[in-house]
Amino acid sequence: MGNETSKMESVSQVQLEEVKPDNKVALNLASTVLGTIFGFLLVSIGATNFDLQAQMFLFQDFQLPIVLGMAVLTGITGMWMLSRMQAKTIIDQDEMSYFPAPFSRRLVVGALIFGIGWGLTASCPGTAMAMVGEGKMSGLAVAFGILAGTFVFGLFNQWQHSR
Amino acid sequence: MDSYVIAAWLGGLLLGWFIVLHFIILGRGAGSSTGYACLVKKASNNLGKYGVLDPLKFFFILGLPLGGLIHALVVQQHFSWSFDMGMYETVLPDSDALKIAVLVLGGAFLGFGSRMAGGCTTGHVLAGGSVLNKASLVAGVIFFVSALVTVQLLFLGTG
Repeated sequence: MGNETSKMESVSQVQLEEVKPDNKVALNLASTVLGTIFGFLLVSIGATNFDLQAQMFLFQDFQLPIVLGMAVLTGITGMWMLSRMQAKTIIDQDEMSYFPAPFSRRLVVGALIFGIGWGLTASCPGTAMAMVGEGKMSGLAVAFGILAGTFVFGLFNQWQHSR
Repeated sequence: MDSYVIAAWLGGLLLGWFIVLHFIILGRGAGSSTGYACLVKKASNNLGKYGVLDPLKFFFILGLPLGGLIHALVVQQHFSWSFDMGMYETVLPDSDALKIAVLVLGGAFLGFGSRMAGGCTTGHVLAGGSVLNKASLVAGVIFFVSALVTVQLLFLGTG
């Protein structure tokens, strides 16, 4: 077992134990800080810029598609390196908490509906909140809509369950 | 393009590193849409049977506007409320009330769709893509194609 391995395992060990109430505050705080960094990044890359969003889908500007492509490639490389370090528990934990539902028809229909919302508002659930911080008022309307849509989905979900 | 927007290659690297950092620190993928669901689940007493939601996602979306505000104050060195939507002004209704209605409706599509698909651009495209989750990659492609068709139709005839 290499140095990196034991280091990684101890990191993930801490994470698993951190579900304890006394660590809850630390986790909540870490998540808020990560959200702050992410919001800052979303603005920096131009994801909260209406024109860049429109121009991406009109094939007039390639800033955002390049960013997204580069980000995923970088992410793949980084996650691959983590797995090479045998940081198994981190990735395993991801598989547990990350995708309870595998591929389904719901995913396809949901993704189609999501795309319409993306095109109509030039926003995503992440960028809408970052826009609010930037003073872009459309973000408030979109965020309100997301809450409403989430609620309506709940009703639909409940109706499907009770059939 | 606004001058504060950083180079695409640099932005992609930073965003990719962020996703990996999130995995290392919290042991799970980043996500935005679940944060909204946490709020709705709590407010509605889990009326919609949302299942298990990661409570950390709620705190994540609390940080997002903070990051936007810091960027406005530190980098753009300017903060003011504005309802101007750039190119979208040519295709959305002139009346503020109707514009808000369209945005709320679009937001509802985002909320409904992301819950149904199990994630949004953050969770499926960035985090899911980074771990090469097949369902996420399919979702990401459909997100993109569906938005592409929507924007093409929206801007039809505006030249």
